[in-house]
Amino acid sequence: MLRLIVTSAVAAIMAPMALGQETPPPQTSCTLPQVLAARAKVQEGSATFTQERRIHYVRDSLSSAGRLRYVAPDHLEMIVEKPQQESFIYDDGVLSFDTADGKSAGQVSVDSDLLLSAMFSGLVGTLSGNEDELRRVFFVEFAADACRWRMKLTPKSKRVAEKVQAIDLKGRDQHLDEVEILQANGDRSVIMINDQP
Amino acid sequence: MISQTWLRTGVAVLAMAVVGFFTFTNLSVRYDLSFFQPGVPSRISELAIDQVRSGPASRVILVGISGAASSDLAHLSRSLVQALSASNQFRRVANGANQLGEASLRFLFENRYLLGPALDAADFTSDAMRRSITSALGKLSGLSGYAFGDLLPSDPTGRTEALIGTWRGSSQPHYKHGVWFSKDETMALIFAATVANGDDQNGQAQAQDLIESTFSGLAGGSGPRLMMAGPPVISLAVSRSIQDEAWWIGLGSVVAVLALLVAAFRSPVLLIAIAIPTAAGAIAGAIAVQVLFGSVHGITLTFGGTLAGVTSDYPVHLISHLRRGSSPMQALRGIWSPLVLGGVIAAAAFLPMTISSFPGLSQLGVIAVVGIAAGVVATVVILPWVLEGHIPSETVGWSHRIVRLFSRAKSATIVGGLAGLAWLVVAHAEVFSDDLSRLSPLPAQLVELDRKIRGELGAPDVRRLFVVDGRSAQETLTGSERLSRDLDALVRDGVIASYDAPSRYLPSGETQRMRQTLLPSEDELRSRLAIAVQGLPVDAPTFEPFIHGVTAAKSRNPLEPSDVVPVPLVGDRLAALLSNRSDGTWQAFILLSGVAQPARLAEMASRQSSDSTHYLDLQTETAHLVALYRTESLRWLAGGLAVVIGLLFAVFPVRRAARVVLSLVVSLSLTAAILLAMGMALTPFHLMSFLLVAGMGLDYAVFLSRDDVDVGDLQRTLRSIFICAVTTVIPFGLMVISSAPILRGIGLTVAIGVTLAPLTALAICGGRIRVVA
Repeated sequence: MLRLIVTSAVAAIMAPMALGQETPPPQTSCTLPQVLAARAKVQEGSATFTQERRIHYVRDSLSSAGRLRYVAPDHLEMIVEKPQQESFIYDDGVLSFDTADGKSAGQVSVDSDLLLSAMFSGLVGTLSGNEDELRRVFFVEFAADACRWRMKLTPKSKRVAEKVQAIDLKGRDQHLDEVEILQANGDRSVIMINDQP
Repeated sequence: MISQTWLRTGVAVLAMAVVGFFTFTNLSVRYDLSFFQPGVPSRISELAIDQVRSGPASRVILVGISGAASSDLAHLSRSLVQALSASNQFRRVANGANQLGEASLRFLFENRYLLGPALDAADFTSDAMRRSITSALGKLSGLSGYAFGDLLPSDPTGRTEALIGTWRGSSQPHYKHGVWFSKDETMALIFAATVANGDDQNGQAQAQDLIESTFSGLAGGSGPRLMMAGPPVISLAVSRSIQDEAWWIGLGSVVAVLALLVAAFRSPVLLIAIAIPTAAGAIAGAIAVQVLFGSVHGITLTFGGTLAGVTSDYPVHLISHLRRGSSPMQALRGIWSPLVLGGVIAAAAFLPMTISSFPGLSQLGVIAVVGIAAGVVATVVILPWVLEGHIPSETVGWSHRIVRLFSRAKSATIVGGLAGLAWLVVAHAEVFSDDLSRLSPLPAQLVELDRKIRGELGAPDVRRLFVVDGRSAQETLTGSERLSRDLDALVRDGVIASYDAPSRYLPSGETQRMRQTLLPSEDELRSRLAIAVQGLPVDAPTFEPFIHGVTAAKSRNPLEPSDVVPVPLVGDRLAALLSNRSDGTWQAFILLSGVAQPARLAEMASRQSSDSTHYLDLQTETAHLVALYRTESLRWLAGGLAVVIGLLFAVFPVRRAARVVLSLVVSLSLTAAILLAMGMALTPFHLMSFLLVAGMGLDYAVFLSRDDVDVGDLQRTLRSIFICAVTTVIPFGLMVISSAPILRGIGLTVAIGVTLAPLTALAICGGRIRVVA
């Protein structure tokens, strides 16, 4: 009994904090409902991220870095710090967008851009553990190997599919570690989500 | 058994009801400022009236939703906008979200070089392109890159973004959850332009009721609150509250007057009999105006209604003079001269007005002349027939004592009246007010809400705007561009916060051609780009779509309004500011927001003003119109007075005529002096009330200036005048409790005037009555 308590306490301390402050003990088996149910328990979380983008007409890959903050059920902030300050706040289906130079770029509604819409609904759907919402927008493929899981989201809407080929999410237990976005034009981006500093 | 009087009364009332029903259901009534318009209006006054009626700012409803968490408010705002946009009541409903759809974005993208803000040739140099591509690559690595990554090869200078910024509006309200919010984030804001004109009461009521019912359907019971402001909301609220009040005042008046008449005549049939000539006057007057002018103005109709105060006096006189043992015809013969001559002279007073070049004045003249004449004719022709066989109650004698009492006050009354007149002449400058806005009781909280939301949204100023006339769309757009250059300077100096002009969305053909010459040629652009991308991680051929776009823009035909207007959402913005009139000419509206220094704006406007460019300050223009109207109406009033004096001297002995005139002058001067002493400035509505007072005062003075009347007759005349006066003072006196200054002004004027008129008539004319025992 004592051993179990100590083990879980150590596990809780050791477990990465990425996007999950309340960290349940690691699970022994991970199905999609189990992973999402674990996600649904997470109320709030912060992390840093780095992004590598490959754009078909740009020779070098473009990298950026910033912070992420999630508040259940549908609030996600992505603050890009490098190379240029930008902040994206997604709340209740709406994306607010500001640039750093004080010149308000106005705010882009998610619906006005299919790519961002798909990306954010995939991310927030996963973070909130909302399987219904994910399946409403995407075909969901899920595979797990001892709780290292991989989920592939393919847009159901033909118009969205013309922009986004797939969104690939990778994680362990309730943690989301990596998001890869494949655009229909061949551009691809990889977002690595790191532990809270 | 039904008496003969009842039967005949019934026949007359039925006939009157049928004619009245057909008349009032077939009138076309107008409610705009055109009432004050001169017959040959100036372009400015015409424009001002158009703007107040149907200008783009006049139909804007500003909506605020508060009382819940901001995310709920944002959700409500979206649902409400979606529902209202689907109805056919609104031209545009906006809350900042999703203003441009895919089709409109594509249109803007394809025309990015010809439309939108000024084009700078310096943006197309190698250096400038290198800078903009470098900056775009930086953004591309972040998240916004997802939004415009596909756009960069076609638009490395960021032209599309600037163009969309233009279309989004000159003012940038605060956003929360993707929709417009007040800066304190407690109120979601919506801008709704109705299809109905600002002065279309029914249309506005429908649109505003739709907003309210849709909102309560979406919001459910408690919690979120809906608030509406803007000119159409204010004017509907005001007219609804006046209608409400008018109903209560009307009910109170009817009850009080009926009670008085019942007490005086002790016969319900007589009440109905009195109503017959009164109704005949109102119906005949309304028909005459409708036939002569094609429509009746609401103000004319209101005046026609108050004219009942005059026309009801004739039957009251006849009924009061009925005697036991003699027929109504005999009674009529006894008062023939004061009744008919008094009526004819009163009608004649309005006769000059009928030929005024101001349709509003002319309508008043016609409804008064025809109404009074019809009242007199009905009294003379119909009433004796109706009253045949009616047995009146007898009266007791105390009248000669009253006459003597008043005759002692004769000199004092005359001196008082003339002193009042002298004071009016001296105080001339303060007598008149032409600011009609002082007459409309704007609810303070609505005005405050309007100010708040208008400021937050940067919605256009309701009072001041520019109108540019042109023979063609191009001429109008060129005028709009010329004005825009000056307005840009005013924005820089903080005189105004922003402005909206059609050329902002569609530059003139000339400007578009000038832009085409600024764009570099295909070969030139290609070689500049090759230099620009040196050392950058992109290849020059990436930007072939850009070269293709610029080349296409150089050679295409400039865009016309007909190219832009059909584009969803984008076209509406242009159409609201640029209109093709039925005579083939065009008109541009340049709307101003956040006017901080009106004086400097007016100064710039006076420099810019020309035959085609007009600056409208609607408040000033309205006051100017009303002043013109007032001067004109005073002129015709003087004419009417001259006719009255002429007629009086023609039909009556000199002394009697002089007494009547003096009595009129004294009672009118005293009334005006009292109003002025109470701090009221006289508007055209007060002047109309004076016409009524003069009509009734004339009637009393003519009756009381008779010589040689017997005691019974004097008794009947005094009773008749007392009843006439009190039945007029009661309804107008009740209007004084109204919250609407316009009703209060009319009520007070008539109540004071009609109280004074019989007293001065008694004092000045009554002294001559020789009572024959």
